[in-house]
Amino acid sequence: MTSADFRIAVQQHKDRVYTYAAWMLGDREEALDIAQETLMRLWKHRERVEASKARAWLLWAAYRLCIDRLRHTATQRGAVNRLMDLVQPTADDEASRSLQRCELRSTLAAALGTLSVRDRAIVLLREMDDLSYDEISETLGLPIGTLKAALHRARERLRVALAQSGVTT
Amino acid sequence: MNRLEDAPELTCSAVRELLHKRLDSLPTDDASCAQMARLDAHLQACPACHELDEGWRHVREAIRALPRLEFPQAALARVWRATELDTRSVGSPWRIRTAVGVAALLGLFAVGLGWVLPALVGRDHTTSPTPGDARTPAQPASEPAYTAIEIEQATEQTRVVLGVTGRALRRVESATLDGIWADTLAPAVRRIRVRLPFISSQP
Repeated sequence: MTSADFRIAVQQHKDRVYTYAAWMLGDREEALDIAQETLMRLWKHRERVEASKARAWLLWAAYRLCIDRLRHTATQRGAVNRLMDLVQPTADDEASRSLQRCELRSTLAAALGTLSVRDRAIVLLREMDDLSYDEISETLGLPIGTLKAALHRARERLRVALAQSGVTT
Repeated sequence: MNRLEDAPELTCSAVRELLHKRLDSLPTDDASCAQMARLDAHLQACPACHELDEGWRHVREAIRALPRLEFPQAALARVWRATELDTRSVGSPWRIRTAVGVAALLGLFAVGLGWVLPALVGRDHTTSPTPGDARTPAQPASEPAYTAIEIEQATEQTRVVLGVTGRALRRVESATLDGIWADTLAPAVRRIRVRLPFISSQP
């Protein structure tokens, strides 16, 4: 990819990478570090990355960096607590003023935090970033069969968590 | 006859697999339309599968409604700044860096060649004269080489010319060799430039 392609890719995917890292790590500051590092790595490796695959490459790089970060810093319980922090209502968040929606987000964040890092990555890539099975498989280096089984299992766990909490959309 | 009624009833396990496919917008088999019709029929009749369908859709909607973060402008500026600095230093593409390096080496080589080559040529011209060669060793490039006999003759002739010229100057106070001797001088002497000394009007 050229320098111009790099700038386009950054403009298109910077928020996606930042959000993905935040939901993987549950920490805005660490996610910001990861997102910046991911973008810089794309710059360094731009000659080997096709412009059409920039999104998948960025998410792959962010995933690897998140894994490394979590190995050093996170415990499972800590991950749950930090994910909860991401859904705390803010003054300028109009949607968060709905108590019911806030409860739903908190419950979902807690449930996401109980998933393994890999399963959480799969769910986020599929449901939040709308990647196809092939793209997720390429991004995480997983066989399609393993990926589907993990996704179905994670969906069911999240469904049970939401059902038990009694909150609805 | 209704084809749905003819087809075997879907099991709950098969229905759940189809629910995931539909949720992920994956293509089903050739009989997809009929299969989806049977799926919907099953969901109406099976509360457990219906609950799963509702629940998984709910999960998807909830995840898609999670807050998205906006990459801060300050962080974006840091990224641009870092890439610009990288471009100026080591981050430029390797082809450009290589080309610049090769050009620098060629430039140094050319400068070195321009320095060394004249010295080598001059050494060839002035060193190792063959025996019996009486030509002078270090003539300027624009001057022809003279033999020792030619120089001796020119020196004698110059003394005579300067003497005659000196006497002529007593009469006219200014003269040139060409004006005095015209074509009578040998070519080697004719090349000698003699200038009258500047005579100041001040005492």
